[in-house]
Amino acid sequence: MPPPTAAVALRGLSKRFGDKVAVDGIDLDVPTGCFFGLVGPNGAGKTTTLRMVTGLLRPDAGEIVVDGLDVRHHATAVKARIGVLPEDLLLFERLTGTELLTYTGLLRGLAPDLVDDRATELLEVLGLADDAATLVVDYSHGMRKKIALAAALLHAPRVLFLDEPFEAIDPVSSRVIRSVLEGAIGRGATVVLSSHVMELVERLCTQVAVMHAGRVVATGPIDDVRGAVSLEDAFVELVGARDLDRGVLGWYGPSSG
Amino acid sequence: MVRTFVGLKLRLVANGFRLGWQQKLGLVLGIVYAVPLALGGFVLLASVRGEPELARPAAIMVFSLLFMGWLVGPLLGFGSDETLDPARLALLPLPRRQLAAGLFAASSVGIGAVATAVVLAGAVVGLAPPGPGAVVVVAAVGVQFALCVTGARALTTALSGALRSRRGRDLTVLVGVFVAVVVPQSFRLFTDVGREGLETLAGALAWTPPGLAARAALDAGSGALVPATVALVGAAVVALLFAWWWVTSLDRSLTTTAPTGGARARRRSPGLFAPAWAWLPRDRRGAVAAKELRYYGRDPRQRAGTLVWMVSAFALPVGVALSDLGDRREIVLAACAFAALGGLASINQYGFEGGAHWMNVVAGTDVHADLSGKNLALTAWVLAVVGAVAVALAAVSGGWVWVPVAVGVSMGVLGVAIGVGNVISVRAPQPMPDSATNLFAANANQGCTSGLLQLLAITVQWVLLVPVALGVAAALAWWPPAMAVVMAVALGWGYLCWRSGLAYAVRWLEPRQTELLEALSPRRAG
Repeated sequence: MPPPTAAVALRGLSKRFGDKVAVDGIDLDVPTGCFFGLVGPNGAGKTTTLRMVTGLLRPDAGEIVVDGLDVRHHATAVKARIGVLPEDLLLFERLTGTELLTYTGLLRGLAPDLVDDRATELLEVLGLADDAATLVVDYSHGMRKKIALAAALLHAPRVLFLDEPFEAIDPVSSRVIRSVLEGAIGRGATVVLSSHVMELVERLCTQVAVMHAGRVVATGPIDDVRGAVSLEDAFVELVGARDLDRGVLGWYGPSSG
Repeated sequence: MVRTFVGLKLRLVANGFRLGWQQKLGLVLGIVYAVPLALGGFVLLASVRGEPELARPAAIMVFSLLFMGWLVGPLLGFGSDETLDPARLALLPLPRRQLAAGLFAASSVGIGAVATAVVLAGAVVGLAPPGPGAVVVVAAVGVQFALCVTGARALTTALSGALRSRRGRDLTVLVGVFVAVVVPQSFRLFTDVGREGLETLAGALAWTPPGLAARAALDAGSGALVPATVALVGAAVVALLFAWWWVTSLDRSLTTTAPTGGARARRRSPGLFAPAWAWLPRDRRGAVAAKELRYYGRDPRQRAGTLVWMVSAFALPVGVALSDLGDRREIVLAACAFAALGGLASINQYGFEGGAHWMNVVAGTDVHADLSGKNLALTAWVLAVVGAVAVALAAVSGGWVWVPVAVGVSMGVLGVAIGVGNVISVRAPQPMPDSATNLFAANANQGCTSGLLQLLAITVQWVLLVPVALGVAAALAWWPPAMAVVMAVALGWGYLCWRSGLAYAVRWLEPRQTELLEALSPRRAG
């Protein structure tokens, strides 16, 4: 049984695409009210895991419990409690920023006035107010990420799943987003983010899970996982990466013979 | 350098055959169209030998059409031919003379270039006299070829910045629709105006650059070498001007980036609910319907289809006004045909959403609200246009009494079409790739089966509509007041079909939302 305080609990979660096992029977507990980092090299299965947990991909096997509810039996209730920022950012991009938020809010079943108020505030806070009437297709990558984040926050979800949220975000916006997320955690929300930028995870997260080749190779409070070294060193050791021999590509560099 | 570029172009043409079936189809279609056109042009020009009064309009028209084809063609295919965009070569350390020569050579290779060469060879066969005149004819043909290539390159390069922007590409889709609708009509014009009109047109076109090239060949053919040489020099100067324009805009296009849409002054957002559909409920169904209505006008892929449908719908009252059908008041009922055509859009209601459909899935929207919202948007839009067409037909024919009947029957027709469309939309969703350059782009992966199922769906739609059509025809033939009954039956039948189709689709989709999302999204793993 998963602990009752877990915001997300996974048991034996698996997914394969053809011959490739993307997620290989993982168990994972995310405590409520924490900033949880899911780290791993490219292709470790982070995105597939997040897609299954958020109901965008059907698992081959395993159990997913979010906020105490089994996803199989309470799919709609679970969806009402989570917010999602996917990595690929496919949006209805022929809508303007405001229209996209109105659309999302009404889909979520929120009251029209509440949607308007929150959308205006989110656009203002995330620095998108000047582009509220611009089509999302004309947004830069960073702006797309911010509008998608606004859409994920709109219904005040209890658990947020963010796939590489800080990629392509400028330092100013990054600080804004961090304070928004930390404020939400202070009010009892849980944030699960995936990233392969170790410094970021080290700075933000209190709990981490390290994924490699579809398995969770380490999980727990960040200090336990990294021990005495930096998270990056601990991570590299866990996933068994090798340092390159200095002789490799020896011809490259202005002072090479 | 020239060899490298020509090699690259040949490789790109050949690689077309290794890509998905639709690129192959595009190439095959290109060849299928190009071969008869090239041979037809060749035969036309070659056969004017010894018929000077025919030779003149024929040569001038063919030269002008070739030139126009070269100007418009590459603009529409801009994104699909890698050798055409100079920006792709911006990082290579190439002096601009080399770059221009290479790009010129690359554009002279390909299906269109070969077809042009074949047509122009016809001019040599048809016009070249014995003696020194033959040299001038060959030179004129060469200049015409150079005009085509440099004109096309200059225009694409000068516009390349605009074409790389989102707005520019959206616009080319509309130009493409315009060309597809207008060009066939203009051919009819040719046959209507007859020989005299053609000669007047040719007289005017004789002063354009391709017209000058044609005149050089014609005059040389009839032995007038001096005017031939003058015309030849004139055309050659224009070709050189094109080349110069091209080289200077090449410089500019290599150093400027595509404009992005942003950086505009803060303005009020128009909002999801435009005044025209402000009556929609502010809930899930209303949000989906409002988004769909926004997309009909904003998504270039949907806008293209919408536009073709609207142009043909409003062509009907115009056609009726011009013909003697205006005496028949029942002509108003013809508007119902456009309800059936508009209903075709329902057979792939999820295809345009593509991967973005995750937003609906993750929001936990109930499938019923989602699908019925889409139905609502399509119905509102089609009925608005059909109603306007019916009113226009009534204005022309005086059959005002038939307008409500036409709208009523149209509602029934739409109900039948959308009911079938709902079923096929969830059973055989076909993702529509966001290609701004190919109007008829379809997905390669699962295209065939879905395509066949959609054809089947159209057949089912029309079979289910047969009783309605028969009822309308019978009432008109025997006793027009019976149309009230026919309309009521059509409405009931349409409602029944719509409800059953919706119910089936919702029951099917409810447990399979992730599968639908996967069918709509590009493949991924990890």
